[in-house]
Amino acid sequence: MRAEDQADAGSPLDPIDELRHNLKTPLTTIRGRAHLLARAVRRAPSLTDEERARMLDGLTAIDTAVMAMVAIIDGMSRASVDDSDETAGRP
Amino acid sequence: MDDHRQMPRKHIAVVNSSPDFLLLARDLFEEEGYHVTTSEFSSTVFTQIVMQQPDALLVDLAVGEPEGWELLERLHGESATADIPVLITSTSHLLLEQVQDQEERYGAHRYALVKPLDLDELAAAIRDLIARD
Repeated sequence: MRAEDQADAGSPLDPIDELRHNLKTPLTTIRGRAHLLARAVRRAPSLTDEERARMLDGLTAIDTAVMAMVAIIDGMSRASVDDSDETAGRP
Repeated sequence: MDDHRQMPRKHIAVVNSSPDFLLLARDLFEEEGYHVTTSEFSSTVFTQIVMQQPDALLVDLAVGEPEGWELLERLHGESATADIPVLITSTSHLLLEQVQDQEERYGAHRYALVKPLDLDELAAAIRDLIARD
């Protein structure tokens, strides 16, 4: 099968691609839930301005952390994973 | 009473292999006032879409999972579904570029969003797709 046909069928061309997907899928849930919570916090009438700001700051921190992890995942390569294994003393 | 409450709610269908994402999408789009149906990929999902005729579809493309590609190809190829606007998502920029490079096979998609998604961006894209329909 040609490489482009494999891509068409959604088959992994590289195990790193599958690892990236498996790491980003739960991050999608975390980021999405943080966004939904932020919407609810902005609308909540019972919160004081200070409480609302503190909660939104916390949710923004979650979003920032998720996107920092995404940047690391996007920067992963086979070589970097192999190097990491060697550093950890694994075969 | 607001006039819009008299209007039938627009229907968003979401197809994704992640149950967590399906719950997230349901919560988002119901909050936005849509009628939402969610499905994991299966042999019956295309038939469901034909019967339901949603106003917009959200379909995920995943590495190693051909079901999303097959669904897009079938949606584009069948007259009963070819005009349903589809928003595609993926964790992979590369997959989104590949599907957009093959419009004749998979259809033209105005929105291809990379995950993790910005939910405000997703909601705005769906509003735009439905407004154009």
